[in-house]
Amino acid sequence: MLSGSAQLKLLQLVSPTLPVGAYNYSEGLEWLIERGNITNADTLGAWITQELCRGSITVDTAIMVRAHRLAGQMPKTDILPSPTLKHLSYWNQWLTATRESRELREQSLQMGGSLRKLLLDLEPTVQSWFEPIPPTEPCNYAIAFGLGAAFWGIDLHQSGLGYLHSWANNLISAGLRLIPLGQTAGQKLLLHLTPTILHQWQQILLLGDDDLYSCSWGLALASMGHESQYTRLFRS
Amino acid sequence: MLSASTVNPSAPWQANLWLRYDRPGHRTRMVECLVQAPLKVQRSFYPDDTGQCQTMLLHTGGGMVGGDRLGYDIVLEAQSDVCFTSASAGKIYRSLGPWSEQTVNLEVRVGASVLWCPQETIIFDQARYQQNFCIKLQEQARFKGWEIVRLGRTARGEKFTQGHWRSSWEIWQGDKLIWGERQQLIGSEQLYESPNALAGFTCLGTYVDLSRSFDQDLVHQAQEIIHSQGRSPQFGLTLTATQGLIARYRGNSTQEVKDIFTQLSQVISP
Repeated sequence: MLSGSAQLKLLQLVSPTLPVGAYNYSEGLEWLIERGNITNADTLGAWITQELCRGSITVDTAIMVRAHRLAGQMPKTDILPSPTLKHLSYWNQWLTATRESRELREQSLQMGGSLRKLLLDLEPTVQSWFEPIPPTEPCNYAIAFGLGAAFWGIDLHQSGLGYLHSWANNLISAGLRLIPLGQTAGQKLLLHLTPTILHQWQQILLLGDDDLYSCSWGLALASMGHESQYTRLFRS
Repeated sequence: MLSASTVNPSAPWQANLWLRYDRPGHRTRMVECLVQAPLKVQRSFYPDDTGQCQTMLLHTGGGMVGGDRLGYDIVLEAQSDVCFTSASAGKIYRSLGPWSEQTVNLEVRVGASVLWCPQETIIFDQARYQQNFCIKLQEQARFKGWEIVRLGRTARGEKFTQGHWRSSWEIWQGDKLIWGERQQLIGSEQLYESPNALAGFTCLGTYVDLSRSFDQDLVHQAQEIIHSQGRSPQFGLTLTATQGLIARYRGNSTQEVKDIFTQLSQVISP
């Protein structure tokens, strides 16, 4: 059980009002909807479900897991550097290099940079936790989230569920605005994703470093298409 | 029932190929070549007067079966310039369990240049195939290449609805990973049709050009030129973190993807 304090901090971290700009991004949905690949709640739900089961978000979450675990083992700063610290930067660079498109990479780095800055403003002592990632190195959202969650004492299990839920919630919200759909349809969809999120979280926890594969052809093409889409509501 | 045409009955191959090139004068030459069957290398040839050496890689065994492990270790010394092609489409047969694995390690030293454009790989339904590319670039070294995969023997109406394909790419510049990907497709009727995966298409292509930096305008121009030809397949372009270029194709024709990539390389050539 999370302490009351950790639970409240989790709610703050996964809130759609967290000022990291998540609502600016549709992760390819805007292009898919314009092309008619997604037209209603069913096709939106199918897209998000497949992404949760096989897509890029599984690997992204697996990196959040690594950041959370490495943060948990973080030694005091006076014994820097250690092999542990190298790894955090390794995963951060790995994630930057393997993003499917410029747009997805910039999204992750913009949101990660905003979260890092916010956390430093809220909790100056979190500075040492971010030390493995030099200020000049852009920080991915998964890394900043994992470190922030660990710093606030939110256990890995709750952090992972929260991470996946806020990701799904954000995509549904983008879908509602674009298709468009009513708020109740969106809430139904989010509720229906519960078993998928629970199941996939267990799968993601089992992923070893050699299992970090995803099937992201559709996402890559949609995001590349969005980069050159003529009119856009969402950021590229 | 498994027929002889789809499961190769011979014992698995464990074969390696080592190649080294240098460039003492104008021409790049192959200075070391150690090859184990079923891999083979054709004699180098020079299609033009740029000094680029063209090497054709062959697999004399027909294709890869479960348990096969093939390794390519290739070194390009400073300033050398090599284009790699292959004689025919690669085939990955269905497997009763074990994986087939192919690993390519390319070491590209200062100022050297690689063009990697093999024929497509046909991955049979029920195949289990892992491929790994690891490319290490020294200063001023350049890599350009493509990978084309056909999922299922579509000429026979076969769909890739069972089996497992994994592809790992890592391109390092010095000690920094500048581009990578970890793609996989686990065969299923659902993923075959899903817009997240194949969307009913059978052929996937990736084009990578890390030989120089590109700007966003050129990406848009190239995208428009390719799209203006009214082709039906899906095609996208984007930039890597170091301003290299990545293109993706999802369609049905290996000839079409080669044509598009060839045209792309002309459109973006300086």
